[in-house]
This record gives sequence, C-alpha cells and structure tokens, in this order.
Amino acid sequence: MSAVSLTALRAALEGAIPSEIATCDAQGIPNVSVISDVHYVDTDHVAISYQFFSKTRANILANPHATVLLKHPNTCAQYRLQLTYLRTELAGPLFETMRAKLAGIASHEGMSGIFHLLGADIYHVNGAEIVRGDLLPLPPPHAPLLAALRQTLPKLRAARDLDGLVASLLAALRSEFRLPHVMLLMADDACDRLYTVASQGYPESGVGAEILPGQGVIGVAARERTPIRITHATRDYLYGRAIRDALRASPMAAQLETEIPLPGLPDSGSQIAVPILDGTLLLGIIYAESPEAGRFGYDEEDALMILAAEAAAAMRQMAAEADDNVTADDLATSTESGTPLLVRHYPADDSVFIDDEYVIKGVAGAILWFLLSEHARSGRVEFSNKELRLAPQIRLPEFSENLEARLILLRRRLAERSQVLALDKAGRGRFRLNLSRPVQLIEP
Amino acid sequence: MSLDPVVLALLAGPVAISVAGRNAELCPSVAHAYGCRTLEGGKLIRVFVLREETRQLLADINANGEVATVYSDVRSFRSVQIKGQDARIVPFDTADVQQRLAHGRITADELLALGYPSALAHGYFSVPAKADFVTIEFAPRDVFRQTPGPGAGDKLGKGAKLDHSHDDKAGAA
Repeated sequence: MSAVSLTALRAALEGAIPSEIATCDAQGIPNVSVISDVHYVDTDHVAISYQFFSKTRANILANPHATVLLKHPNTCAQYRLQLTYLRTELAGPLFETMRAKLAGIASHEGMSGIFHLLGADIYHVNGAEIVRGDLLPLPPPHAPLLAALRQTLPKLRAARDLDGLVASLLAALRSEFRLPHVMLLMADDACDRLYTVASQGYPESGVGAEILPGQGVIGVAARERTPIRITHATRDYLYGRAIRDALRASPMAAQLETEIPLPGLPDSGSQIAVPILDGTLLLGIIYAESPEAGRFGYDEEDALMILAAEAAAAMRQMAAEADDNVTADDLATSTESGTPLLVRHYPADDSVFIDDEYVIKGVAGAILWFLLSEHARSGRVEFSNKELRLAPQIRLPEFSENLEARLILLRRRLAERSQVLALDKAGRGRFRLNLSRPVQLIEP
Repeated sequence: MSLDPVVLALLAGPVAISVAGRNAELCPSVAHAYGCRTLEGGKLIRVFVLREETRQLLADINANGEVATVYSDVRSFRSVQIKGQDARIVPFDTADVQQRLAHGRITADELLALGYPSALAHGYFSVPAKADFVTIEFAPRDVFRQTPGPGAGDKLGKGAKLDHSHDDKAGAA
C-alpha cells in the first residue's frame, strides 16, 4: 500500500461505485456505512453528502476521525482515505455542486426523490493510500484535454471581437474537446437572466432562448458561479417543459424570451455547465451535454473552467477596447425592390415580427427596431456600435460587452428567420443592414 | 445471538461486504471482504479478507476485538450491519475457501445480470493468484437495518424487520 495524492484518485470520487465510510463512537464501537458520494474539494479536502441523520453522522460529531474505502469505477483499484471531519456547509457553491451530482447519482440508482442533500460535510484528508492497484486498464480519454487547451487558448487570445471569440470557442469545443453538443449563453446582469448567443449540435439553434438563474444545470451554475456537472441526467435538473410553463406564468414573462425554446438532447446522458467569470461578475455560461452517461469528469470540468477563464479574460479585454470612436458617417444606401416586408414592433416588450412571424424581443428587438426606423428615416444602412450604446430607446444594460453579444444574437436570429433582412459586419465596431426588399414599419 | 433467517439469506446472497475496526485513539479502519460464512444459525460469522489489504484492520481487531460489518445486496441495496466485540483473526480454512469462491461467483453473476461488463463484474471480487486470506470470526452482538433511507441504522430485533420497506433506498451515510 502506498501513499498517493488525492487529486490522482479523483476518478474514484465520481459516485459511480458506492464507497464505504467507517467511523467510531465515543464508546469505541465502530460503524461502517455505504455512501453514495465522496466529493473532491481540493488536494487536502473532500466533502461527503449528508442526507439524513445517521449513526455515521452522530459518530463524526462526537469523534471526527473517519476512514473511507473507494473503488475506481473502471480499473477496480481500491483506495483508502484517512479523514478528519471539519464542518458542514448548508448552502453555497459546493453544496449546489454536490446537490446536482447527487441528483444524477440518485437518478442512476433509481432513487430520485429519496436522495436529498441536507449538507456537505467537509473533511480534511490526512492521508490517501492505494489498497490495490489497477486490475483493468483505464479506457482511453475522449479527448486529450491538455493538448486541446494548448491548441485553443492562443486562438481565444487572438480573437479580435466577441464574434470571433464565440466562433473560436465553439469550433474548439467541437474539434479539440470532442464535444458536439454545446451552447454558449451570456449573462445580462442588469436583467438577471442568461440568453443563448450560439449553439451547435442541435436541430434548432435556440439562439435568443433565455434562462433565469437557478433553473436547470445552467441556471444553478449561473446563480452559484460554480461548475455544475451531472453524470447521469435527471429530471430534477433538466430545463424542461415545466420550467418553461413556470416562466410563462411568472410576473417577468413579458420581459422574458419564452417563444424561443432552449435546445437540448432528448436522450441527454450527462451535462456540464461552467461559468465564465470576471472576478465574481458572471459573464456567461459554457454548457455541454452528451447522450453518454458519465461523459464529464473532474478533468473535463477543469479543462472547461480553464477555457472559461480564458474566454473571460478575452471578453474583459474587448470590453476595455470597446470604447471606439467610430461613428456612422457613411451614408451608403441599399437597393431594395419587391413587395414591402411588414415589420411590426410592440413597444411593451420590444418584440418584433417580420411578416407576422415572431423574430425577437427585448434588447435585441429594440436594436432591430432602432436600425429599421433609422433606415426608414434616413436611408442609412451602416451603423456603429457606439451610436447603439448611446441610443436611449435601446435601453442597453450597463456592461458594454452586452451590446456585442446582443448583436451576435440578433445577427444569428435574423439569419435563421429571414431571407431578406440581415446584419453583416462592416469593420471594427460597425455593421451593415442588408435589405433585399423595402420595409414597411408598423407600430400598433 | 442467532440471526433471523432473512438476514442469513441476505448474507448468503450476492452482497458487497465491508469490515471496520478501530484503534486505541478511536480512529477507524476499513476494508473490503471477499465473502462470509455463518456458523450455528448465525451464532458466529466469519468474513474473509486479504492480509495485505487489511494490516491496520487486523492490528485493530487483534488489539480490541471491536468489529462492524456491512452486507449490501448488489441488486436491491438491502443491507444489514452486524457488530461484534469479540472478533479474532483465525486461519482461512477449507470451508472458507469454498465459500469465498462461491460468493465471488454469485456476486459477479449478479453484476453481470445487472449489465456490468464482464471484466468489471469479475474484477471487483478477483484476488491475486497467491492471495493470502485470513478470516475474521466474531459473534454477532447487534444487527442493524442498513438499507439506505429512513430507518437505516435501526436495530433489528423484536418488532423491527429487515424488510421495512422495499422502497427504502437512499444514502445511509
């Protein structure tokens, strides 16, 4: 038996195989119990789920010593951890991470509705040893994560604008990280929601779909500013019909995007959402899912968190540079012909319909209406980000990176919904409204 | 005490077994066991462990005889905990050898039936070619229901049954 770093044993902490914990009461009577989740906190700490009061819990409150036996889910290796109980957390990022993981394990074990996390018991790891080594070879990794990071990070750094960053990020997730089903959501702190700016691997892109913090894997990751990972998909964390129905019924429904559904795999097996953070400020969420159960482990979580940190740094840099001096002095006009396109705007929620088909609402809807109104007034087709920031009718949230994200969302949404109306980039901080038919604006 | 027939049947089935002891500082030790055998209707229990995996546990049992064992059905999670305070290390005898092989076989078969790949189903209970087994023998003093869920930890005896509810499944940590 040899001592080993706890971090090297993390695969045995995925909850795939139950572990055993031994404790001892003050009278010296030992106790051993099967536990469903030993969670890696850092190289010196683990957390064990506290689900209801038990002999184990009574024992550690009286005598903090505990010993845990772990089994590797793939290699049949066994490890032993010597632990000292420190404290219990009843809320917060670690608690929510464990709660989501436990929900996945419960679903896998057919115990949904019975596993409920009351607390995260934090233990110091005094020692870790290999009881028996690997009997079976490890399965090959899905993707070489370090190599993927090395390939990807320079591309994120090289992105000149948010559009380029989003494109690089999605391309890398697909080709380097081998994650075919991903979404990128941006946070709108002013309005306390997330909106989807890009996705890949779904029949419908879901661009424009919104989520409130706390809902599903993405919403909990956003609210707690922590990665949320589900090894076995569970209804408890799916962003399903029930949540959408609740959204429609909420007092915020008028302001929320409820027409565009969030995409999702019908047979999702595992899911991960990691926050893109600038300090404690949430910029967005990277989400990935897979039909395969157990697809995302601690290593994937680490890699995506590094990716998210790099994306945050790039976004921060872009925000600092976004105060451009470009103004729209170009009076280029477009050449439109044919039947007029009917574009209807409802000021109450800034929703915009093209030929009676819903396109978008909220900030992106206000931008679109501003551009079309300006075009109708002056014939102008080139615009700058700066004038949008200054336009009072758009009511942009405070953070400047939001404008670029909203423009990406609007551009992608128009590309999906309209053959005759498009937004194209026209240099740094500028874009062009492309219309192939005249437009008739209607505001009831 | 002798054991309830339901408990005896559980112990004879496809169960994952773990054994715990503790030292003079009340630090617990724990190890996997590779099978068990009951004598005289459960008045004695023998569990089989690998010496090289259990040095601390064996030292603790030698020192104070305190033992806690858990038997958990790999399919249903029905579990019992049986404790004793007179545990001792005894030779792994011929009947233990037979029972150890039988236990490995039925438990692996159950895991196969549950859909585990063959290498894993057999891997969890496989042992080195020159496995150095010893047997821990003790008289049951207390039996507890350990099936995860509400009621886990209840002492079994008069009025308390192992099969409290087939739905009692949750982490009994």
